[in-house]
Amino acid sequence: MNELHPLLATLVEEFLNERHTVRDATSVPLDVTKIELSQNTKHLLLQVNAHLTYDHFVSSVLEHELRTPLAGIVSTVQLLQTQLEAHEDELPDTLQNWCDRLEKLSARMEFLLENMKQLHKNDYSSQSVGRQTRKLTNWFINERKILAELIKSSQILDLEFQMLDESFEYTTDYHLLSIILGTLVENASKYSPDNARIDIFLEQSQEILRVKVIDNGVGLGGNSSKNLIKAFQPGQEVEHIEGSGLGLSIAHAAAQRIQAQLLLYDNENVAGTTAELILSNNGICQKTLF
Amino acid sequence: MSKDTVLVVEDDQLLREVIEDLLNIHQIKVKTVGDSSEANDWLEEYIPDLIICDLFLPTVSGIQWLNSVSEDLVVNNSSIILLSADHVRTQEMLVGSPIQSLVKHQLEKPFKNDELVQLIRFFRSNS
Repeated sequence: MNELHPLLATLVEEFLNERHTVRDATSVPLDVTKIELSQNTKHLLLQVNAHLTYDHFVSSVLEHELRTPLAGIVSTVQLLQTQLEAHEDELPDTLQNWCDRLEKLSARMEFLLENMKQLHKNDYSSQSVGRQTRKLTNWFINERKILAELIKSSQILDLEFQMLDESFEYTTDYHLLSIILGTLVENASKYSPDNARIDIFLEQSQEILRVKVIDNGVGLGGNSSKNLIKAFQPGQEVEHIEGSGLGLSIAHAAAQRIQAQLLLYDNENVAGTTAELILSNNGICQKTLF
Repeated sequence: MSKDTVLVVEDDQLLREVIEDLLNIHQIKVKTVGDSSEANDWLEEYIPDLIICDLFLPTVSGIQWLNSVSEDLVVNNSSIILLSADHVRTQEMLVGSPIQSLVKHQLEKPFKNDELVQLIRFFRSNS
């Protein structure tokens, strides 16, 4: 999804062209506050903003994901130190030196992590700017155009609604919902053959809203959905498919921030996987997580 | 298993093993589980006096799970230590939650082993 640099390059070009046009039209010094942006420039700015938001979110997820393995390393080093101190006389000095070195390295990693945390300190509070009330079906119809750009050109993306109320309005962080859907559709495309169809279903019942992204790809195989949503744990039998190992972890983190549940399971009787996002239907009490 | 067995809910297997080793060394009885459904199975057998729970679990968040079993925890007056990276936001999430008064401490990962052991000893003796 990272196409920020080409976007910025095009944006700069757009600005230069506009500035050139304005200068041609008038001989007075340019007043930047009065420049009217073209539709194309506005569109590019929105795209750049979306990419920056996405990159920042991914960085905050990464920082959070690093905490658990680092906690394991720090605690294990402390356990090692305690054991070495208890057997100080029997063990060679080199072991103590190596353990001291590990302790210093893990302390440095802790320091780096704390600095990373400061970068994300003000992001995605409960008053997140992405939180809006929108007519859900309209949002999905618009989003489908963006999602269609994420799949292979030979694949088809289908959108279907089963709503109790077609005009239902829902309050959530639509930036995060977009990140979740983008990740799920990208994943569905990546693990499906050319010419495959990917279906998105939006279902509303009295109690909950469900979004399902269904593909006919390789399926979960021997992988549990719990493992797949953990960062840097690619599934078995899919080593040939490139990826950062963060995709589903990002979707999961975003889902938890909007109080949604993300489930993955094999399709019944046919090949492929369903990724199901369960949203609260009433739109209340949707506080952010970490 | 008994009420004085500490229940640790953490989805990362390696960190679970580290916590288990640490508590075994300090002769603290511990049961570790990887997700909320496994934790629910154990709660059917006994309600522990102390639960250490990660905020970021598979499927549901730690607070969502704790809210779902809050009735039993409130009756038992269990103590909860949350493993959380952000105190302010965790506090925001806890406002109005039925487990708010049971959450005694938020411990940030990575943590010091001694701190975890001291916290467990303190809250078990005060529960």
